[in-house]
Amino acid sequence: MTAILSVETNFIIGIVWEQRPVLLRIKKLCEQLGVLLAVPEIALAEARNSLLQRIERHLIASQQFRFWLNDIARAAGMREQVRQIKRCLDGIEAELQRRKQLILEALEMFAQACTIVPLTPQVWARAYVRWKANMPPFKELDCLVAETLLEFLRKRRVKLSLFLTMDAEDFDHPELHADFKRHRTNMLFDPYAVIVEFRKFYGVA
Amino acid sequence: MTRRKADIGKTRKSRLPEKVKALLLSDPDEADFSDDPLVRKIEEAFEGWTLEERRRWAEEWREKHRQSK
Repeated sequence: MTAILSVETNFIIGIVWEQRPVLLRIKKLCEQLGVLLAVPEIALAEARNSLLQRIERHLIASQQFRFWLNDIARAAGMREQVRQIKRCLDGIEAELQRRKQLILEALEMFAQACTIVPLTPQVWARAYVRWKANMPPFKELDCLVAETLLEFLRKRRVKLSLFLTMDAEDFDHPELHADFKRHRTNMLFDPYAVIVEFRKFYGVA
Repeated sequence: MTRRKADIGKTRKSRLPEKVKALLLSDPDEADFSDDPLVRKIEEAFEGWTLEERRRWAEEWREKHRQSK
């Protein structure tokens, strides 16, 4: 392995929800070039939760609807009509559960193409200190992402190491740049800049 | 690394296969991913929801993340 590309939650959301061509291209390039695509376990969990929550929202709405329907069936004496509506709801809920399963399968497919960097108790403790000390990237989840990657990169010696984050607001701080620089990693905020770096590194610029 | 005298002045040549080189040089926004199994799986999971709608969800998620602590 000669190169590593580390990413965070925005990369997963950008691929699964937004299907951004440039991110799909980067993923494909990593596969073709043999670049290790490092994804923090916490970022994958965050993306999984937000994706599933979207489906859960509809399932909860359906449950509420059933509650109102029960009320209508009792109070208005419309049991048969309500039964018919509930049969339609059964179909909707079954479809939503199927979609949930497909999202999980898509995430699993994505994860298989990456190296998932685990969240260890040591990383968690360091992230907690960073967060409590109000150090960049300031937010609890972002601190977990940053510390997971720093720990992972500390043990790696590669010729090219990049960290792509689309969250400049939280990550673009001199202290964080310095932390990643210490691990010979260049932090980038634009996915096109990753492709430019790949071109330069592989001599096709 | 020291360069041989004969190599001085020559451009560094990539040893990548032509297919990968073409992929690296092509416009990332004009790529076709319809044969990508991951993309097919994603499209199956979100069938009926437009890409615009999904991009709006992603923005909502970013806004929520922005407000988190």
